[in-house]
Amino acid sequence: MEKFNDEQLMQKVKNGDLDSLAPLFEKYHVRLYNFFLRLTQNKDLSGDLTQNVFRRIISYRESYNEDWKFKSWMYQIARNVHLKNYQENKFLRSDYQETEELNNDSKSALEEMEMETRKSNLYEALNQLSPEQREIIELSRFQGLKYQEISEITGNSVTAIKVKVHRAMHKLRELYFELV
Amino acid sequence: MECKNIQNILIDFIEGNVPDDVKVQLEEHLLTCTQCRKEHKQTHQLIEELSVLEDKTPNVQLKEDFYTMLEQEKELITKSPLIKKPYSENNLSIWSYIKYAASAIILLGFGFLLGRNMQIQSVKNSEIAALRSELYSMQQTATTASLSIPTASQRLKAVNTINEQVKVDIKTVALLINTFKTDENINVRMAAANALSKYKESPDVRDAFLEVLEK
Ligand SMILES: [Zn+2]
Repeated sequence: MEKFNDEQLMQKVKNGDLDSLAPLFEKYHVRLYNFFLRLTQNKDLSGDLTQNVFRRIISYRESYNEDWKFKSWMYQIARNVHLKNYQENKFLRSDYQETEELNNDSKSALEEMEMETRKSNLYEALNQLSPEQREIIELSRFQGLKYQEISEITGNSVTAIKVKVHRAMHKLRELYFELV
Repeated sequence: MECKNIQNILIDFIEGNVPDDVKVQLEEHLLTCTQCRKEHKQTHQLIEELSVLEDKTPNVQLKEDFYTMLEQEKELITKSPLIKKPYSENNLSIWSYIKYAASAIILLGFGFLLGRNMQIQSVKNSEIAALRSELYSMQQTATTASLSIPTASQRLKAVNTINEQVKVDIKTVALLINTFKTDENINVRMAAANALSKYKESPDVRDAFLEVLEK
């Protein structure tokens, strides 16, 4: 089977071959889901928002430009989806309970508890950041994107992104170590 | 090296992403400065802690929903005979197709463009109002924010709902014109053209068609 890169696949989608979106979905949906999950801490909502990203990709496929990196374009859409949701559902409660996520591997109960405490401290610290700072941490730390990539996604210069990442991490560090 | 310069490269330093000379200077500074040493230690710890929040596997529903949606969208494309030609058979651009459609409307005045294959559902009045305001708010904003009606099929539904109404106000006609001229989806533009064909006597509508023809 012929292998296509992201941009070639998206170009095919743009030309009306919607099935070419399937490999892109398979490649990115877990990442996007977790992007939304860490930002909203709501599992159902994160599933819906992930779906919205792919809906928009289909709706706006004609506006895709083959010179753009697909990944950057996709994250731009994800940011817009998140922003829109944030404006509309500011007060939506988290349905996220780490206890559901416990896996039955060899970890002892004590280790599990310690892990849960660390997670909840991290979330507490993350929740105190501004939405913009949370997002920059999500993109740079969790999604593992390079400064250059974040620059493409957000439209800020690489230098500005570096400063933002460091400020956000600095703030997060202060908040986190106040809690522990 | 000053403390405030250190802050901005601490993460890159920890992850080994700084040039050797910077690395040496930074290491020297850390030996002598307790504050920076503390920050370095905490940042290092924080980066490790963050890995605790690793990726979760989404519910299988997400995948199912995606493939259902994909099938629906595919159907929408194939159901409309208009979309096929420009894409596959010849290399007509979408715009030349629109031009053809617009001139057909002007010359013939037929509402034939969509055929019968667009299923039109009757919608309650309150829904009509909601759809119209949604469409309206979409038009008010520029590209990024205009994505507010997520799928082409929903926008299509909005346009078709307006089309079904007996009486349409000027504002709604303006909206349809804007959709006809700017919507990213050809099916939505076609639906708007079809709806507008009823008002072809209106100078605004005529202008819109002519404008499209001149593009
Ligand atoms: Zn120092």
